[in-house]
Amino acid sequence: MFETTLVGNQPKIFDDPARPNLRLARNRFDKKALSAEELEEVTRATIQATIADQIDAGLDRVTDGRIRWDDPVTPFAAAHDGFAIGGLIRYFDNNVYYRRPTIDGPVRFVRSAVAEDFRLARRMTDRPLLASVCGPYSLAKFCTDQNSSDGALLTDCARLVRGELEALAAAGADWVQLDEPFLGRTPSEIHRAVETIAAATRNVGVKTFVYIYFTNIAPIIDRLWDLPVDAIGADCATAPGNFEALLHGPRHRGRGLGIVDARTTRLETTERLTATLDRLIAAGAADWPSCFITPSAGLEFLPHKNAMAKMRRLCESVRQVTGAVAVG
Amino acid sequence: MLETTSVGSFPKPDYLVKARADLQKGTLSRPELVRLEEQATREWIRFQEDIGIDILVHGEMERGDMAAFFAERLDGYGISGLVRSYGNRYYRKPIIESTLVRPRPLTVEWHRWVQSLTSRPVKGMLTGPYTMCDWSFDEHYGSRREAVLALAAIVRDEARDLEAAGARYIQIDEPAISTRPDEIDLAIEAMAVVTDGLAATTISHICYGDFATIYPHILSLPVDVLDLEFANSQFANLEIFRRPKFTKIVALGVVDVHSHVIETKDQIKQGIRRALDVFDPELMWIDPDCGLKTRTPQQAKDKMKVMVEAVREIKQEMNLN
Repeated sequence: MFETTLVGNQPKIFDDPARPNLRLARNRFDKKALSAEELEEVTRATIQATIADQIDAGLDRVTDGRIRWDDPVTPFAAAHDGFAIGGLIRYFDNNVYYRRPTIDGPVRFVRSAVAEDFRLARRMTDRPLLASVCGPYSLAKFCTDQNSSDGALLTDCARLVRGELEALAAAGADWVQLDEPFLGRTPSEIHRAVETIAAATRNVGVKTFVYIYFTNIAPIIDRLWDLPVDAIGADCATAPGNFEALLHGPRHRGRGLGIVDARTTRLETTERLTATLDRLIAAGAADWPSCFITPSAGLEFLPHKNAMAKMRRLCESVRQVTGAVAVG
Repeated sequence: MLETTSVGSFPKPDYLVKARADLQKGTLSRPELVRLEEQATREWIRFQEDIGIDILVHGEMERGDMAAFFAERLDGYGISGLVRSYGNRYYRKPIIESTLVRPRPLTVEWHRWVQSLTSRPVKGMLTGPYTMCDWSFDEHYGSRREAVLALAAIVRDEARDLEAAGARYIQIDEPAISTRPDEIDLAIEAMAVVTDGLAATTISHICYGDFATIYPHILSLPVDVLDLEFANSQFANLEIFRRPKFTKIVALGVVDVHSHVIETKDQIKQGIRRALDVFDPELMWIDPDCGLKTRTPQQAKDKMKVMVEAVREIKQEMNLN
């Protein structure tokens, strides 16, 4: 009934000095004290360690932790035509920054930014994997003023993301998450946003899961159910109303519920989480085609120790209500 | 008019970076570290005097992260593990674990000493209550408002102590203020607690946010000077401030602190000229976009020098000398 997974990044560094030290490796690479091959070796070891952590915590479906991603947009801006990497800007309401890409030409798919890493992660574990891409609407918004809306750019971004989804399907992915943090920030654009996402996902050959974080989706939820995707998910910590909005949706639609707050070290109690899960069961979650139970956002906002505690608590709580045995 | 200053931090010289690492390893004593922090501070004060900066900063040689520095000195805070801020940069995000208390003045003694090194004014440097809250994990207070106002009372006491120690300029940085437009009133309320009754010129630095979402509301922030970044956006965000008219002094960021490329004098002059079309020259200061601590010492010096030269030429062109 419930499938536990992550919806974004994982901390790239560990507390244990015996584990891979990607931060040090990147510093040494920048100073030309480490070769590209040596950096790649540390990066792969970090991805392996991240997957091991998720399995240890008991997640049903794991991710590569987005270890190569500095943010949700620049990996795609770097891999495809039409983008130039610009100045630093804060990543929503977080003390985290990214370099906002600008559009400097026609946006065109060149080669997948993520398919090769999916194959790498596939070789590292037999556990089901959740791949992820930046959603087409947010890809356009990340690159421009969030209040602007350029129809041609949205069309091009949809085509680009469709290319990524097809590449992931060819690489063997069964589920792909599309990050759409800008969805809901401009409710008046929801029609255009839905069209853009639909152009990327309709009949694309892989199951798609649109995930929205840091914002309130209640005003747009009715339109989201129209999307040709297999699941809609949202951050239920930042906007508690999102939980209710997802709870009361159509029975035949899959969901993802970010019920553990990824942006605070305060650890949820098992009692609180199991009560939340009981509400999902009472609402008929067993009949939904899928129900991902996740943190509210990527766990890289937390130190590694706290991220692990959140993952473990999430999995323990699900096991408690379903009676499942730990598989980690 | 077109006074030059800096936002706050300068890069630590190699000997101080090594000393801080040695302290962590236990191979250097704290008094020896403090001696080197003083040495580096003297060097940056001398540098600013030599190039002709009008309003000096102490350079923050004794500080690491701008939130963690204060959190480590307040009762009620703990310090977390590392979290990433961007690229490969990490910091230790503080955790509010119990009621916050300022056990003693935190920056006054250092400020008094730095001011004794120069006849030019040195800014007192504080991190604002909204940013302190936003850049902390809160495991104690019941709401963000409660945490922000608790921090405001602490920052107010520190600001008053700085003023009593002679500070003529007090900067209360609020880089996080633009992150949640729906909380701008809370940030303004907290700043009012901090600056109420201060006679010193008050400044607030804000950066890397979406200014369009908080302008003109930000003009209600009760400070005299708003210090904003412009070079990072190639001055494109100037247009935001054209209407309604900007009513405070603006400290105009004219060099990009996240680029190792040294701007040319002409680039900076062009940026200032564009800004003069938006802001009143009598209400303009000139400085870098943000603290320069992420650059090498030489890059920081080169950026500051070219900035001062550009301002000098602009003043000559405008017959302002």
